[in-house]
Amino acid sequence: MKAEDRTLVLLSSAAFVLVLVGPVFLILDACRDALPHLKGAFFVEYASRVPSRAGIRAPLFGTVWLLVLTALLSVPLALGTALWLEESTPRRRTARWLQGAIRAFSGFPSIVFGVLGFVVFAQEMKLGRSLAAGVLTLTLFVAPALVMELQRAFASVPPGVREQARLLGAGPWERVRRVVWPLAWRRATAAVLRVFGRAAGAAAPLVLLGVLTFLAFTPETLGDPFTVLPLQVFAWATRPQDEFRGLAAAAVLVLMAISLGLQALALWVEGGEGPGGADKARGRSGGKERSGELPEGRRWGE
Amino acid sequence: MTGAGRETWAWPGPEGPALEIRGLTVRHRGRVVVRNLSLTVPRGAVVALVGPKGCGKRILLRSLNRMAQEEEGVTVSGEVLVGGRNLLDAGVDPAEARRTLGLVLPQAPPLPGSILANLAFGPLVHGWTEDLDRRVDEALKSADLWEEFGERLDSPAAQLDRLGLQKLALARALALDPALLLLEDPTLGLEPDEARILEGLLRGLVPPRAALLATSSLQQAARLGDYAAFLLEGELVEFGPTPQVFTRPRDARTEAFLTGRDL
Repeated sequence: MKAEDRTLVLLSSAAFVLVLVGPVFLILDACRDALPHLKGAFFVEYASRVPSRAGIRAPLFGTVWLLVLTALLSVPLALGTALWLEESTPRRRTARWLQGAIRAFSGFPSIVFGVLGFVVFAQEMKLGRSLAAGVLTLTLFVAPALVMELQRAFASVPPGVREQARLLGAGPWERVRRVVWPLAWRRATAAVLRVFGRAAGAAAPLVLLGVLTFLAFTPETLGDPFTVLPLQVFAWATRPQDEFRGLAAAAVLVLMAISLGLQALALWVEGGEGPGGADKARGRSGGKERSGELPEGRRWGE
Repeated sequence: MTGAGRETWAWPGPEGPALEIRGLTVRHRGRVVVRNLSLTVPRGAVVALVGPKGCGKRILLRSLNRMAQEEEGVTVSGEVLVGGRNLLDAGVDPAEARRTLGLVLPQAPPLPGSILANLAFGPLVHGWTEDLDRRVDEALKSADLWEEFGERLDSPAAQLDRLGLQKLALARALALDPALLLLEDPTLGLEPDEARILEGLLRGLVPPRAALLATSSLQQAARLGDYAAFLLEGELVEFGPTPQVFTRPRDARTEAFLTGRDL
């Protein structure tokens, strides 16, 4: 092996190890602090001034409710938008413009969505610190990423397959129902799970709503106040007493478990039986064969 | 795409050509890619379209059944007459144009699902459910898939080899009972022996229909075409019975193309 090759291999493996060591160390450290607190009571108790009696019931319920309700609102919207962007043939110019806007939105710092949610939902619409305000704000936050991920899922269906469907007279609806969805549903579902795995830990869009962190009840209606795990972590971690830091570490682990659980579910869904026939179909229409040798199509005299 | 489509269904009348193209002009982003083209495909005949890369064969086929019109920046004018009906008419559903003129593309990928799902796709999209079995069986038989797959229609279509996939694409078009087949390099990417099998199949099933074959293989045009049309830069340079066009071309440009000289 040449010297520069050796250097490259060495440097890249060193970088890899460093990138891996950081998170592993953090997780182990969190585990050490958290383990004494990870008992059954931790999951069923509400917040308390006494560290040994504090639990994450309110933020755990809040996080689950928030994610489920946001999914119910944002997934249909994002699905519609993504399908329109990927599958509509006319109005390409409008589509391109919208596409640019969505990409720009998804790059906004998350605190911007917090400000927007605070001004529009909390103040203008007088929803205050309610679950409804949180759901609407988080919907704004996840929608652009959701649209882009779903679009990527639909774009994985080879254009040639869509064309075959059009050739047989299928309009957009039949195309989506009989071709795009059967080939892309695994990827699409995984995309949704992945986006919500990330959104589970998002604190910035909610922090400006003034979400409370000392709740002794779980939300029952959309108008009730709520809290979420990342904000509970923040509240505990900034307390002076050491025990609360242990609680924060324990809540972090729960949060990571939710996030990783969703990501793992995404992998499982996507991996299931392979992404439908999409890969095989793509292999068939792949450029390699197409540009390959023409069997006998030589021009005379060539 | 309507279920009532069958009443409006018309094979070209007992007399007259299978397809008549009149004054067809196709523009792509303002550039003329097919210029005022008129061409008649007689009943039961194969018309082979030949010409250099970029001569407009591909977009011509696709504008006949209104596929090209859905691409950005493509406008088409003229008439495409089948049984006295102009398929380019705004009143004609594009889906109907596509089942009347069944286009088979090179290296056509399978639709998702089983072989049966592939064959039933067209009829189901058109709402033809009552004689679905008969349609599927006939399509399988005419595309020579019956012997091999008649008993295992549930196997995934993606498992077919390249020849099988091409037969399947043909069968999908046939399940809609087209008046004419538009064939775009149907044997591209096949081994010579496979191509030979597909050509034999095509020769057998074109009558009583007709076919317009765009091919990059002059040998194939000579083997399959009853008539040959030479297209250059969107213009129909020469049209006539294949032996005449290939052996005694009238236009110097046709001869230059056929003998491989610079055009």
